[in-house]
Amino acid sequence: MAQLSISGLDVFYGRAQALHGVSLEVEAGRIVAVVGPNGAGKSTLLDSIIGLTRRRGQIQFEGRDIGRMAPARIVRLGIGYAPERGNLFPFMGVKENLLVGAYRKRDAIEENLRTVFDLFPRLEERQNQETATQSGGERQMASLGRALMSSPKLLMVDEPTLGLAPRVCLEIAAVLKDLNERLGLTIVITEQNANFAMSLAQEVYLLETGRIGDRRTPEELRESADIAAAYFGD
Amino acid sequence: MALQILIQGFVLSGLYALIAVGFTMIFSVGRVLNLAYGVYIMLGGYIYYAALQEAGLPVFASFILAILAGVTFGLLTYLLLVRRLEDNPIAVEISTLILAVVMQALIVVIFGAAPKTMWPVIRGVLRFEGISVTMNILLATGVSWVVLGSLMAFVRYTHLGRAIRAVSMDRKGAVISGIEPSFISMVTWALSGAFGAIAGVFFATFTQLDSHMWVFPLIISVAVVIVGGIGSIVGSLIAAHIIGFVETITTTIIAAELRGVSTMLLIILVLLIRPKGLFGRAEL
Ligand SMILES: Nc1ncnc2c1ncn2[C@@H]1O[C@H](COP(=O)(O)OP(=O)(O)OP(=O)(O)O)[C@@H](O)[C@H]1O
Ligand SMILES: [Mg+2]
Repeated sequence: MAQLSISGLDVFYGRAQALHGVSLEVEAGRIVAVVGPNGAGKSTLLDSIIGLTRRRGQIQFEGRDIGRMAPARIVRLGIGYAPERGNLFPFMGVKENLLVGAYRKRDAIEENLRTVFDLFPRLEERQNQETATQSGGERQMASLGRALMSSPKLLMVDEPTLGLAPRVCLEIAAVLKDLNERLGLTIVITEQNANFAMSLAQEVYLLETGRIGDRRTPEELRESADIAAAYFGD
Repeated sequence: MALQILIQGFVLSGLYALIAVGFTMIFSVGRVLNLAYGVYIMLGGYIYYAALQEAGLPVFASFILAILAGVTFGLLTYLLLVRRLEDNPIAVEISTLILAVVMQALIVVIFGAAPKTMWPVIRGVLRFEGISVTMNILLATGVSWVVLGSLMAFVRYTHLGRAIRAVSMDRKGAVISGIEPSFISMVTWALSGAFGAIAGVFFATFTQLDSHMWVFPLIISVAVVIVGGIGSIVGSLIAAHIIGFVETITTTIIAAELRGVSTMLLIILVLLIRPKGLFGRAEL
């Protein structure tokens, strides 16, 4: 059975419906990407999985129904989330941000700090720097690090490459691959950058105006004409 | 005179910092002005008085009762009122102001309209270089530093304390870290009630107990938020010292009648030149 399984998910902001009957399956140990343009509902989807939205439909994680749970419980069950732009605590140092990430996982703080600092040596060098003064790339690293501090089994990353230089994107991609291969972490990312998503993920979903397509492999997607028109320009 | 200003300034500022810290905490975590905050101070004073001077309980027990009253009332303000209005700051401000006025009336009903004089928490006078300071004031200053120091250590070095700061800086970031903002709010309101009550006991020993004694501490607290622009504890401390020293200097050098006026003028001045406060951030 899939580790994360969503079916018929509707999400509303007031009266506006942002997701329409979204279904999605994520097998444990995979990297799955949800690709879509601005306003498609990518952030809304990840927010809904972690429990931040008013949602309707089925969301199961490891066989448990999390569709009505509060975020604190969902985090404890093992889902970590690095949201768009990080939502870091700007006037705390990097290390303090990481420690907040350990709020629900206090028995593995040293190990998890070691893991994060090994992945991102720059965070260790600047562990007392306030995140308000960090560069975009460093902030993305801190945000991933904070999510890892709760020892998640599934890590969700919203647009990991947003506003980052190509070199930093590659660095982030390498870390995500490493987390997936070495630690067996399941990873769900969202992306507007289809090329980046397809280079990293084994499975891709297209999301547009709140509606999701079928699961496809990067190879299948590359061959289909609609994606070429929609996401690769020209 | 310089030494006198220095001592008085520090003493007054310490008390102001203690008065204001509970108010700024709520502001930075919930982004609302709790205009009932002065009531915790008044309640602290009256409960301490009733326990010590009317029921004859020991000082320590009276202090604890005062703190418990502050905590209870802080929690009740949050649970019965503020939590239901949370996404509407104006409604929170209006209803907490009404609550304060209701409590003022209630105090008159229970304790009568005549002001009451409180005994100092401890007696004695310390003389130093021709200046005399009461032990009570020194104790108040000491308590205020200890309380503020512990609070700073608490929000820096404990998981719960960091969670309070996290909610004040980025609510979504806190929630996805597994923090429950409603629990954090409860903790904050309880602490705020406790700080208000502690400050209230000392404040009442310097002035006296009466049913409108909630107003002045509220003005001081608002002034600290406006001058500091902040909920940062260090920022509040600095703001409290600016306010305390400005007041000490004007009352000592110009005229004692200006007490309170200088603080209001300072509020207006800062609003005009630095509307975001001198330090300009709203996080704890
Ligand atoms: N808090 C909100 N209140 C109301 N509407 C919202 C809110 N958040 C998102 N929406 C709307 O929901 C839709 C999906 O938004 P969402 O942020 O999920 O898209 P996205 O795919 O993440 O876009 P982007 O690539 O720009 O981040 C949009 O139409 C957006 O305007
Ligand atoms: Mg988004």
